Amino acid sequence: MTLASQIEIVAPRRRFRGFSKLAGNRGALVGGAIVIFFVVLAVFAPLLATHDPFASAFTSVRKPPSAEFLLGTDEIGRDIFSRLLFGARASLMAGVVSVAIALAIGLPLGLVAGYFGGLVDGAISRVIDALLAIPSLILAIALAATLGPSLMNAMLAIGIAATPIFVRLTRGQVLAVKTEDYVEGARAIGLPHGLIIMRYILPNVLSPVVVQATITIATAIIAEASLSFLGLGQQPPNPSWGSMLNTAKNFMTQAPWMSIFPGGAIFLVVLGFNLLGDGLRDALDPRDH
Amino acid sequence: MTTTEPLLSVENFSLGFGSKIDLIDGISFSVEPGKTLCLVGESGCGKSVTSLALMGLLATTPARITGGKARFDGKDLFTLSERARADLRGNDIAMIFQEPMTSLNPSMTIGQQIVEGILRHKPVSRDAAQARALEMLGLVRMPAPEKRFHAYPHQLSGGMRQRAMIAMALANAPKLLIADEPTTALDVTIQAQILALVSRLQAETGTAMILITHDLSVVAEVADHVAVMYAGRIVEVGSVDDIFSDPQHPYTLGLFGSVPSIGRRSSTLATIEGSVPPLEHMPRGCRFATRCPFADQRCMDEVPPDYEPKAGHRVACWYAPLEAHVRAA
Repeated sequence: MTLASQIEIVAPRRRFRGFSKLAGNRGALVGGAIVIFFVVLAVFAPLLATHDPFASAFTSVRKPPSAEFLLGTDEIGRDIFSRLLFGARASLMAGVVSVAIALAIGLPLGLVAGYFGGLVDGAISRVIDALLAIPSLILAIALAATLGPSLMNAMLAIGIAATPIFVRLTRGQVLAVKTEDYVEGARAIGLPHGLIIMRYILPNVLSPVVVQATITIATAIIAEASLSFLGLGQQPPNPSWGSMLNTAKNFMTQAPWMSIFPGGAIFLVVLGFNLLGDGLRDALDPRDH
Repeated sequence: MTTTEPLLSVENFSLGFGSKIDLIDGISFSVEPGKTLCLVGESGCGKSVTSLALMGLLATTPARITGGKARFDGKDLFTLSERARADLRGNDIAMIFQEPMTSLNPSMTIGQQIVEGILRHKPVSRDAAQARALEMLGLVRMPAPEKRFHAYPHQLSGGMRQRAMIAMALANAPKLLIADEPTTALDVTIQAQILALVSRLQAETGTAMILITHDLSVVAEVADHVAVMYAGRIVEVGSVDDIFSDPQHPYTLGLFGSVPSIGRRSSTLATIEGSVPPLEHMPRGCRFATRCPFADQRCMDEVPPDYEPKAGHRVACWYAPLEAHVRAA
């Protein structure tokens, strides 16, 4: 051991440099800003909306963007800007709720599989392998079609389809952490398995899971848009970016604004979550100084 | 050895990895209340795995106990249920690990970790456990204990972390403390402080200790009794005086010969020729036979009986007492 490395060990280090690292990452800042921007839009949709998102007007069908209709109107004269705002609620909620579902199922399964190993691990891992063999969007479509079309069922379907990746990731992290001396130390003071998993394993496997969750929100938003586009998600007349695109595709040449704005919104929000996830990964990476 | 009832007595303990030959082959030793037994031997001779077996922590390793008994405080450790063993761990038997840098949970404060161990075993309130943890940090001479209580492991130096480990191990006033090379990862001045600390706490609390080490200077400082291990067998056991003033086994002699000393250097440092043979090529008789300068065919083929130069001092060698043969030669 060199002198320099010993000095580093002796000198108390700052507790967590993640936030400052995150702040120094331009991509993460832009991503975070985009995400916050859309969250604000969704939360304050009723205040920001210029029109009732459900009100149709036959006098203003498929109007291009103007001072009155900021982003134009759709095929039955509803204001696209207002519908986009309310659609953001569906999209963001779908992203967050389905990832929460995936985490709620995947994290415990991964912890248990990794920690106990053996038969438990074998059983869990085989089921997960089987799920992974099916493309997740196909799985989500099948589930949503079986459960019946609604936003809640779409979120459930997307959540289940996204579960395997969290099980795998968590299990792998647990395998690495459970051989650490401090886990042996926890056993040596006689702590029960449940407590060891919750206090000694979980906090130390969480960073990569958080990164994965952020990136999976982006995937889930696309999945929700896809399901809504196919009519399996948000049901009309409730606005959703995917279902807006679905009707807009019929008017691509006559009223391009009908597809450009919802499509652009999906693009931006997904980009935001991906940038934020990448930034988090860099900030939480212990190898990187 | 005195006639005190031993706190822990291990008899004929064997342990293997599933092959025909056992890694640890029938070792016996005992520890008296309040005394220190040093388990000495080179890396890989089975010291650490013995301590894990005593703690009941073999489950995560491929090693399995293949025979023998370990009586601790009237109970046979190897036949207790997993639940009963978990109740002992950290309560009656505690352990200090080799690596203070990695043996503490990086995501919990030092104080929380000590409290966790107290709450697991003692029916006390969280406040009382915290008070006890703070008291322990003071006892192990942690500088500014109130502040360190809320510190995370990475904010402490190696020596401070080892102090925290010791505080955690002793918080429940265990009857037996197993210390697996507690000072190897620390630099020499800190080593001395930690050893002095452990000895002082041991004297105050009456805890018995098994100290696993390959450092003979540590042995001389803290041991009451010494067991010398070679390749999974105890070749010599006795009081620290017996072992240091009258070593009988050629391996023990070899160990002493390989320690550098301060002063005029008389010759090159003695080494023990060769290396430990792999388990499948282990001689049937004395396991040291392949490297022993005295070994003959009988040593290769037959397990040497225990010879007792005096009560409590046992050596497993066909040529014991050694001086008879050295003079004759």
